[in-house]
Amino acid sequence: MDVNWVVLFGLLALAAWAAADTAAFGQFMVGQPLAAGWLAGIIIGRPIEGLFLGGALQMLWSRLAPVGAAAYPDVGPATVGGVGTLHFWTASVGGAGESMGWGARLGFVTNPWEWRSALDPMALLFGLGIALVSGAIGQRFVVAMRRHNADLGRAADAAAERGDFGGVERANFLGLVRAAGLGVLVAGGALLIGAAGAALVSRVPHAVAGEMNPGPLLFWWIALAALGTSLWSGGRRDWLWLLFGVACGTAFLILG
Amino acid sequence: MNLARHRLDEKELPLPRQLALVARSFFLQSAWSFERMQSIGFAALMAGEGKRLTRGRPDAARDFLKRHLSFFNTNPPMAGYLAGVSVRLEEEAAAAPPDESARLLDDLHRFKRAGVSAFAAWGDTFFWATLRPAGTALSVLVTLFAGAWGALAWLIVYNAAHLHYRYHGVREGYRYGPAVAGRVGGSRLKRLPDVVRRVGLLSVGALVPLSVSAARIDFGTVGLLAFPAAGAAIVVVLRRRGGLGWEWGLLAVLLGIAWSVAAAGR
Repeated sequence: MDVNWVVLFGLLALAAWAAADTAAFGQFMVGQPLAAGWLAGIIIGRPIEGLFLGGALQMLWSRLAPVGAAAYPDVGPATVGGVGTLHFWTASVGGAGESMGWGARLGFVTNPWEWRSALDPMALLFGLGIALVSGAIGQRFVVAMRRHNADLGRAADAAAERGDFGGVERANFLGLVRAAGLGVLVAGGALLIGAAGAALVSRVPHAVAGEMNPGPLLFWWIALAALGTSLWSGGRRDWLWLLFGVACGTAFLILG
Repeated sequence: MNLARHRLDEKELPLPRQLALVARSFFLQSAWSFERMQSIGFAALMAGEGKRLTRGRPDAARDFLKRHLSFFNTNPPMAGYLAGVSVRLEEEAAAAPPDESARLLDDLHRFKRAGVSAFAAWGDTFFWATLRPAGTALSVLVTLFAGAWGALAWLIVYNAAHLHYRYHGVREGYRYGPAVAGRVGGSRLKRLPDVVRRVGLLSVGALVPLSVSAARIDFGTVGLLAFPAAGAAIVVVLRRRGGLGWEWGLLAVLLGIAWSVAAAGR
C-alpha cells in the first residue's frame, strides 16, 4: 500500500480543527460534515467524493447537535476519517489520477455527478460506514472527555482563589487542546481501520466503478428523509412548502 | 424588579474592546464539562475586561473571577449579549459607591441566571434546530449543480448569521445593559426561525426530483415510478416524525456492499 504521509498529516490536522470547531472553538461549522468532507476530499485529491460523503452525512446527522449536555457523534473527525479512507482505497486499487485544473482540484465543477462513476461505489460505501461507526465511537470519547474536564474546573477555582486571570485562561485553553487531540485520536483510529479494511475488502470480488449500485442512493434517500424530519413541525403549511419545493425542482428539470 | 426594565444610559463599547470580547467568545466552550458546563469559558471570556477593571487590586480580581466562574451555559452565538451586559454592569459597579456597587452586582448575578436559559432557548431553536438543517438543504442543493460552491454557501450562510449575533450581542448588551433582554424578546427574532424553516422545507422538496435526476435514473419509465415512491417514502418518514438514526445509514451501507459482492458473482 502506497501511503502519502503529507496527506495523512493533512487529514489529522484537519481532524483536530474539525473536532475543536464542533464545540470548543468558534463553531464556524468547519467541523460539520459538508465542509469537513469537502476539505478532506481536497487533501486526498477527491473533492467531489468528499462533498458527496460530507453532504450525505450532514443530512443524516442534521438532527443531532452539541446542545447543552447532549452527547453527539463526533461528526467532524468521523467525516475526515471516512473521506480519508478513500485515499487508502485508491492507493490499494488505483483509480484517481485524472489530470485536473485548480478549480477542479478544489471541487468547483458544474456537474459533480459526472465524477461519481470514477470511483468504485464500494469505496464510497466503505467510507460512509467508517464515518458512521467512528462517529458513534467518538461520541463515547467526547462524553468521557467532558467528564474528565471536571479537573479543569478545579484548576480554574484554584486560579480564581489566587486572583490569577492567566490560570483560568490556561485551564480553558487546555480544554481546547484536549478537544483537538480527541479529534486526532478518532480520525486516526478511523484511518487505521480504513487502511486495513480497504486492503482486505478491495480483494473481495465485487462490482466495479460505473456499475449500478443502489447502496449510495439508498443512503442518500435515507439522509434526505432525516433532513426533512429535522425541519418538519407537522403543520399543513409544511406540506405546502415541501410540495412547492418538489414542484420547483421538477419544473427546473423539465425547463432546464 | 424586572431586570429587562433595568435601564442604564446608552453607552458605546470602544471597538477594540468589542472585538476582543467577540474573539474571546469563540473559546466559550473550550473547557466544557458536565460539572461546570461553560463557566470556565465565560470566566476566560471576561478575563480581559477583568484584568482592566481590577488592576492592582488582587481581592477584587479574586471576587471578579469567582463571580464569573458560577454556573453558565447558553447558546454560544448568543453569549455576546450576556457578556456585553456583564461588562457594562461590572464597569458601573467598579465606579459606584459600595452600596450601589453591591446592588449592581446582585442585578448582574440575577440577569445571568435568568438570561442563560432565555438566550439558550432562542439560540438553540434558531441556530441548531433551524438554520443548520435549512442551510444544509440549501447547500446540498447548490452542491448538486456547482460542487464546492455548495460547501462555501454553507459556510457563508451560517457564519453570516452566527457572526452577526456574536458581534451585535456584545455591542447591544453593553449599550443597553439588562434592558437588552426586552429588546431581543420583542423583536423580529421571534418570527425568524419559522421563515428560515420554510426555506429549508422548500429546499428539501426541490432536492427530491433533483436527486432522482442527478443519480441518473432514467426519467422515462423509472422516473415515473421513482417520484411517487420517493415521495411516499418521505411522507411515511415525516408522518412518524421520529427522525432517522445513523443505524439506518449503516443498513444502507451494508446492503450496498452485499449488492456489490452479489453482482460480481452473477
